[in-house]
Amino acid sequence: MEGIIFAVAAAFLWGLDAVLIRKGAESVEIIFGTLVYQLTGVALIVPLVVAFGLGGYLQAGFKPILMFLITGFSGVFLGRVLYNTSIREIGASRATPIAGAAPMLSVVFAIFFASEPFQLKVAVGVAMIFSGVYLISSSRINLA
Amino acid sequence: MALAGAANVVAINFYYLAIADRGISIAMPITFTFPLFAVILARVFMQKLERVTFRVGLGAALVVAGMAVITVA
Repeated sequence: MEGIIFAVAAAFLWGLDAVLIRKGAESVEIIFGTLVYQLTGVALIVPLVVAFGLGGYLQAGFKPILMFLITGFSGVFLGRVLYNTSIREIGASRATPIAGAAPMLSVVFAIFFASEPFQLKVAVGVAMIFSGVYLISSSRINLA
Repeated sequence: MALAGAANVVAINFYYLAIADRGISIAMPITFTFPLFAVILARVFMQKLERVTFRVGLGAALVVAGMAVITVA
């Protein structure tokens, strides 16, 4: 039961995250807002890493750390700036479903580039996601 | 923006705890309902900033349902 509560709490907080970004983006530039956003995350994460022991992570070697550095640039920096910008431009209620469909790309890539088997259920799910994204992106933007 | 950053960090940790407790097949479909929460919260708290239409709500629901179908498959 705890796991489900954590999952629902995570979903609620990510939904709230988008709304807060939308409100914040009214008054500040996205780049500065992203800086504040990321610094807050670092300020919260660093004490946890220190508390749980930093030494173990450094023993993993440079290659795993390099993977996270690349992810940090593409996902945390570039992806976050683009996501925050999209929230400002089209609103949280339109940006989050489109961004939330991102894992669907993993499925498509897996079928075409990793030779994973095609499954009808997956195709139905992808079709539903595409339909939802189309509905959202084709509706008129109503921003103040 | 700082509150959004804090919400994100807490959410990530809750997500990992959910995976550890229930596994990805349970945790992922639930956490990826976050667009629905965003739509609802936007409707409730940001009526002056953006107008949430039935079309947008339906689209969000379809995306979430599609994600659930893929995850279960």
